[in-house]
Amino acid sequence: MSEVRIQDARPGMILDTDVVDDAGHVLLKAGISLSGRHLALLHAHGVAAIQAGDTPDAPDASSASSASSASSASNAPADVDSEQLFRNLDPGHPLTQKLRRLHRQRRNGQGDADES
Amino acid sequence: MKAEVQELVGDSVQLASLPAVVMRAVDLLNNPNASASDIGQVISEDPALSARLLKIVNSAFYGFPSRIETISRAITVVGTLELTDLILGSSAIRVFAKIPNRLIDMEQFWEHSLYTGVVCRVLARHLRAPYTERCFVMGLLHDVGSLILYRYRPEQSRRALEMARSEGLPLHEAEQQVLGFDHAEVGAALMEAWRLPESFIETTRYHHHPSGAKQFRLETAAVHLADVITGVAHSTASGTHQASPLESGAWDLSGLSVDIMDTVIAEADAQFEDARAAILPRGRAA
Repeated sequence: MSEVRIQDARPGMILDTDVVDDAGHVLLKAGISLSGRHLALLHAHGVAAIQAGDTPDAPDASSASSASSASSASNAPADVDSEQLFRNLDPGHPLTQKLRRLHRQRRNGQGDADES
Repeated sequence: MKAEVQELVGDSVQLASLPAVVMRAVDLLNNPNASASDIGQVISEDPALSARLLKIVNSAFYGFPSRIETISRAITVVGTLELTDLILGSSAIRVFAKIPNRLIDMEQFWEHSLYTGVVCRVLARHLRAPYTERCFVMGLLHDVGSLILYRYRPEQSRRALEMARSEGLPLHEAEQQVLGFDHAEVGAALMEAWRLPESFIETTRYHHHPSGAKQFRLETAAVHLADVITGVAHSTASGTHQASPLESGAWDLSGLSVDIMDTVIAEADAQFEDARAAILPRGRAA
């Protein structure tokens, strides 16, 4: 386990300890593999440093299963047709445009680059 | 309320009824003369409910620093109102687990609902709304009317689902065309029958048309926005694979910036698995 400054944290690193916000709410749990979105979340909350490493410590069964399902749950499936997904949304609305960019990033497995 | 909706809910509420202990807790919550310890006593009379509640409040989803061992402690830490809401949410999921339907995958249905609840909770925190956990349960339960329709109007519901998919209509509009009413009206009527607080009824009734809400407008906007965002961010579970239409007034009312969406979705993703472990029954209702 080692302390990593947030500007040095990279996607794929494994969190060694829970990250909590000022109110004590858990932002990210120990054992997860950091994605670009996770890093954006940590930046957004002003987290300065985390305890993380490059390789997972052998996780127990529950955290392994949780990490695996989290990954499948957070990725929009490629087989959902984007046009169908957005057909009810006003294409000119800023929120639609933002959600469309985020959807594209999630589908492409990117987390931290905004295409705007 | 439309007579047919009333009749439908009147028929279904026989089966889709909340446990007596939950109804008593809700009644006490609505009673200004009832104290927190009165509610705690009612909950403590049901060991299974107490155990379930303690499991939820001790879960990573809540992330309290020390373990909560008793219902009275849970009331102190979580609050009477939000604890009762949690009872409602988790009990409602169990009610519908007992009345399956053949039209949709219940696991996907509850995943959509749960993700909506989590997004609603995240939005509520960003909006600095009071009672963020209540917003979570509002999001969790916003579509329960669909489960009544799938169970008691299966043929018309199937036609509405097909029409929504083939013609690209929002599901609630297809339901209006086929049935003359939609799942939001049915859900609100069911919540009235369950004597839930007015805020649940209002947010459920207007979650597709938040401008129609006469009270709890910010909460209704939050549920509406959470439903739209979930339709995109968690699209596996939308049923029709299309996001619900956005009412721009709800977005304006929220006062949020689109730049916050990365954070909102990242937070929702981070909380979703913990919420699922805490709230959805193991082995899942199907």
